[in-house]
Amino acid sequence: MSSSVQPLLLGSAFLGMFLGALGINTLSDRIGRKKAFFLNLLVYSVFTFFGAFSPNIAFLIVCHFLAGVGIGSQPALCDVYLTEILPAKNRGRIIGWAYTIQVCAVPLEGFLARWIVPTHLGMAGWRWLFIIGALGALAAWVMQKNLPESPRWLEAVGRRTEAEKVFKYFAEKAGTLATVIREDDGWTVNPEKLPISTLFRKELVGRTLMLWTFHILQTIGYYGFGTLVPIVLAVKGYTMVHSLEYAAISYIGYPIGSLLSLPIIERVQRKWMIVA
Amino acid sequence: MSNASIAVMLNGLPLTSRHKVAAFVIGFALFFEFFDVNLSGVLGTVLQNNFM
Repeated sequence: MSSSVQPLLLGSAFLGMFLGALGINTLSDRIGRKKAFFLNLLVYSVFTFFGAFSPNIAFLIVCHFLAGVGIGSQPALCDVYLTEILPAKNRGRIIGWAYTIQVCAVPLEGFLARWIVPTHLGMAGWRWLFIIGALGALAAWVMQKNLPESPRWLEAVGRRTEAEKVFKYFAEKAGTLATVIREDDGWTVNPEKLPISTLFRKELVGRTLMLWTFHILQTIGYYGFGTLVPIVLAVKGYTMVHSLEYAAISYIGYPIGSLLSLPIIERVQRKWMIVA
Repeated sequence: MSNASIAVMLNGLPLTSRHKVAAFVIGFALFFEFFDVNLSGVLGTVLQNNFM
């Protein structure tokens, strides 16, 4: 692979992610969160699997781009789903746990790569990493089949009876149904489709611009660091095995940082957590 | 069932094992999302040698 092709390989998944985040997440408002999960997990497990059998770099770049389309919608969709099902007072901590599980992927992947890449079990070791990634996404697909649809989405699209069934599914385990449901609550839902320009209303434009800036910069740190560390180490003259080893060790900070945030996430305002 | 908004009723629930299972499943899916997107980076140098 020439050095001019490497940016294409690294950037292909991110370009796919950008398009997937726009497309599948918009679609999730129409078809529901659960169907959108199935779609994106299917897309990225299938194309990651195909990537394992790439005969050349062009095929791998195309597979990685198409896998990225599925991957890109996943974080936003997961945020939306968890926000929609979790009680407000526990929302931050439980979403924090979900993301702590996520960031464990980077150091584990680094150590797995250090162990598997130098091997050759029927095919090159790196191809097995693609297969592991694809099978993991497939396992997630099977597990998500048992999750209920978002009751807030069901209610927003007028499927109130189904929304109540999902609510009962969560409430059954709580054993406090009577204290939660009050006939005189007075809250009703009047779903309204808002245009994107709503984000630029006077009262929201500051928050919109701040969060856009934050997400652009955190993506550079979050994904950029993980993507570039092994390459930078290799350029500095480290062997492939050592660069994978050192990269894996440097990734341990991801889950540690996430774990440290969990005890304080419900005690400190979200905006200060973002600043920190 | 109440006429109250589902969102309000969900917010009134205590955290249950079903919420935790759902969060774990989502975390598991996110784990492989991160795993897959980092593949090209972690394997960047390996792929460079492999397809030279």
